[in-house]
Amino acid sequence: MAPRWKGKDAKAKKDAQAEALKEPMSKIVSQLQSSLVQSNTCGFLSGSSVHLAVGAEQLHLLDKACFGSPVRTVEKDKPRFQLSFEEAFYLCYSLKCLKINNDSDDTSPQNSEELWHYMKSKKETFPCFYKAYSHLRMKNWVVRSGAQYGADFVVYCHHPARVHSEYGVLVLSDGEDKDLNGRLRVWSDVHCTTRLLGGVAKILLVLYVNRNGSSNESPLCLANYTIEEHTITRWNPEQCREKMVIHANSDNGTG
Amino acid sequence: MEGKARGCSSSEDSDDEVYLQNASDEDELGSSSGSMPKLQFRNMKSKGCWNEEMGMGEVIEKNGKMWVTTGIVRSGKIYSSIEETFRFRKSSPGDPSFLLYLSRGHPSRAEIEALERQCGGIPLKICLATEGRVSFFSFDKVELPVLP
Repeated sequence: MAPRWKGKDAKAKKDAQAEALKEPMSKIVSQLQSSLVQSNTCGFLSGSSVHLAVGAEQLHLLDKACFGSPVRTVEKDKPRFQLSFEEAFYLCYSLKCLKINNDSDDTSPQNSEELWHYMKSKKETFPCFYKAYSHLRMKNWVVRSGAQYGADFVVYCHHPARVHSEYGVLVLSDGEDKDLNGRLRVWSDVHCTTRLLGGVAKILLVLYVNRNGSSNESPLCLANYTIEEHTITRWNPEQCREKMVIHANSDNGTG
Repeated sequence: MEGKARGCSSSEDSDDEVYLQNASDEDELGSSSGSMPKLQFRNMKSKGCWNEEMGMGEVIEKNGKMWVTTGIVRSGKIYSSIEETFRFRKSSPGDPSFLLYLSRGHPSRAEIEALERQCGGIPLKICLATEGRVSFFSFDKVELPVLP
């Protein structure tokens, strides 16, 4: 599947593609990393997310790199930003550009072991989800919540303002944690997910995470985890023939 | 987003006339065992011409009952897709486009992988048949590219 660039006409789509090539996501993330380190940005744990107060530059770069989302507060002068566990741990542990305190009054950051334990206690599937998230991010894909599509993530090859997402992602655990996420256990789940994603022009991508006997007590064990990528697609004989010969429009999953 | 067909090559015989064999009653009476040593041409032949723009063979003369259920109609003309245009030999059909596994339950991933190993590289589709409804699914190993 080729990327589907956004724009009102062919020229605008070409421009979106050109902009993306000129400033690839790996470069943007690198800029964000530098900026967070220089500003010594610090977040704090807040329930099942991480909040941080950010300067204008960091706010801009977080948006460009597609991490987190702004939070409205009564104090208009102090922009707040909210990160998911996966996003926060990626910035803290993988990119080493964000410190995270226990709460907003604390001044000593948690170490990665402490964060790992906290996040795992709040979200049982966090180890698998983090492995999946970091796997995709390390390939420079943009990873966002897939909640509105009934999926775990949606992935984009660049900023969502410029390109449509290609895949809806489900994270399934394999090996010891088999079925931990509880998805695709029966055929109707397969129908449900493929039709929903098909209806919004995405392919179902399943990431099978196997910890291969490793403990999940420390983030260090992530190195032993493996991931397999699979797509699941519906096939419609008549559609297939039509598509082959006269490039018919894709099935929108109705009927 | 439907899966696409694989294993279908495109024909470049843009000007050849293709003679299509039609099914006839003789086939039903033929021997069910053994292979025919060579093609047998039937008395009633259809005639087609490959249409490059359409990517299909246009059927110019159609004879035989098979056209009741075969072919694709566009603007009043009848066409034959690439699969139908190929001269298919029962004794030597070539690799199929895909293999179909009929399933009533949800095969596990291990079962699907075992099936795929038996397919020897030919794509596999899982066919789910329940209460008269038929659905087809492909489960494909992929490797997402590393982006710039």
